[in-house]
Amino acid sequence: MARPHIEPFCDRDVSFKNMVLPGFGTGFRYKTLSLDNETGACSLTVQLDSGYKQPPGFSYSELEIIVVEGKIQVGEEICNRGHYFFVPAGYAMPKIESEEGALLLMMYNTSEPNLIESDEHHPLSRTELYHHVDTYKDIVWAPGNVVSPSVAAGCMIKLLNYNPDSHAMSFLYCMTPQFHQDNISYHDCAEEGYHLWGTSWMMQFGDLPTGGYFWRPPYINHGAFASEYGCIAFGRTDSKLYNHFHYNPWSTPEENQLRSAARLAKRDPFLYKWCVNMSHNHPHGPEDFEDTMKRKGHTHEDGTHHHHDHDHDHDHDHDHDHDHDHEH
Amino acid sequence: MTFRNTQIDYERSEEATKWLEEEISEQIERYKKIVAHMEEISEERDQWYEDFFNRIKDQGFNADGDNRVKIPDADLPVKPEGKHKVVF
Repeated sequence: MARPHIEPFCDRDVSFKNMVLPGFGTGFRYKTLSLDNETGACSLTVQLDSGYKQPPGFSYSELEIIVVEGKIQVGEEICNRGHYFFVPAGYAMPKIESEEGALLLMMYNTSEPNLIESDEHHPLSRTELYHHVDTYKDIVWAPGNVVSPSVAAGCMIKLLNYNPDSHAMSFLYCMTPQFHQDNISYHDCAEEGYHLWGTSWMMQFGDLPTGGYFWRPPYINHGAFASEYGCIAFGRTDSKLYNHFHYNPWSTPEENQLRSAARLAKRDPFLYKWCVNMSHNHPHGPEDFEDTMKRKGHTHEDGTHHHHDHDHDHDHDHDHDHDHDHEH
Repeated sequence: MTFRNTQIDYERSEEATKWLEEEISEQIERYKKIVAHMEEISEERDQWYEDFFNRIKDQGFNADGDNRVKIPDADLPVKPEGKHKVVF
């Protein structure tokens, strides 16, 4: 995880900067919320000045956008606040304009921001994954008990994006006025949140107001939680969200991680023993035969098979340590 | 955040490299300010922890959703020695 723990941070406390990277033109100003030091992946609050115009184009990075305030015109469609876009890498968006200006949350998931002017998709783009929705009008709030153990009543979500392999999610969440939940939580995944409106409180970090933000690596304690007047926020996880609840505010991330492993050993003892005792320490994880088995169709000339969610290159020639000793 | 792993490989330009270096420097400063601020509110946080312990003794700990379990005083954790961190 190359993004540091940024929590709490409020974008209202810093000024916008002009975007100097090529392609974005004038009138595109931003504040960086968090940044991956290696890949350049980042989350930005973006101010499009009134009259801003961006030509059609694509990014080499996967991108998520939500309109926080104002409206933008994407092609011929007017998109108001609450509009969400998932844009796969290489997907050419039509021209984007904002007559009166707009505030956006933009998340470049796999590289620093870039924009290549083009009205055609990149040949490697997985265009079928593109989707967008007016989250305020076209999706209803659902109870927050999509996972178990769950948050308390009064915390609700709208699911916007879901990865069936990793169970990563992008979602809106809200807390009703007078919401409170008396437990401490940590997760096995990184979590990100941005307050579109309203204030919530967390026992470690205090108040998070409108414009408040966090990027929280796995295993870091957060909560108890409360919101006096309610709030609405955008959130993401990078893999499965499991609520490890407890009431020890002084446990460290290392202790929390050990506890997660201990709970795995209790819940799935055979899987745990296999992973540990067989020293299967392949950095990419064990092989999933569904990803590699020979199939009747879709076989390339070289005998390989295209798998959509795992399409980057791997070097399988490097060494792994499969025979180290353990002492107890 | 590698949500779908739909990145397309490309060569990072000098401009982008310079941009990234500047952003990394600013992020280090942002992180330092957060850590300093979190240290400033340590005493207030200690009181929040005490209030939390009182609530989970009297009203209960949210074990799952609204299912609350009262925690006996004897089961509460003892504060360890050494510096307490909330930002890592």
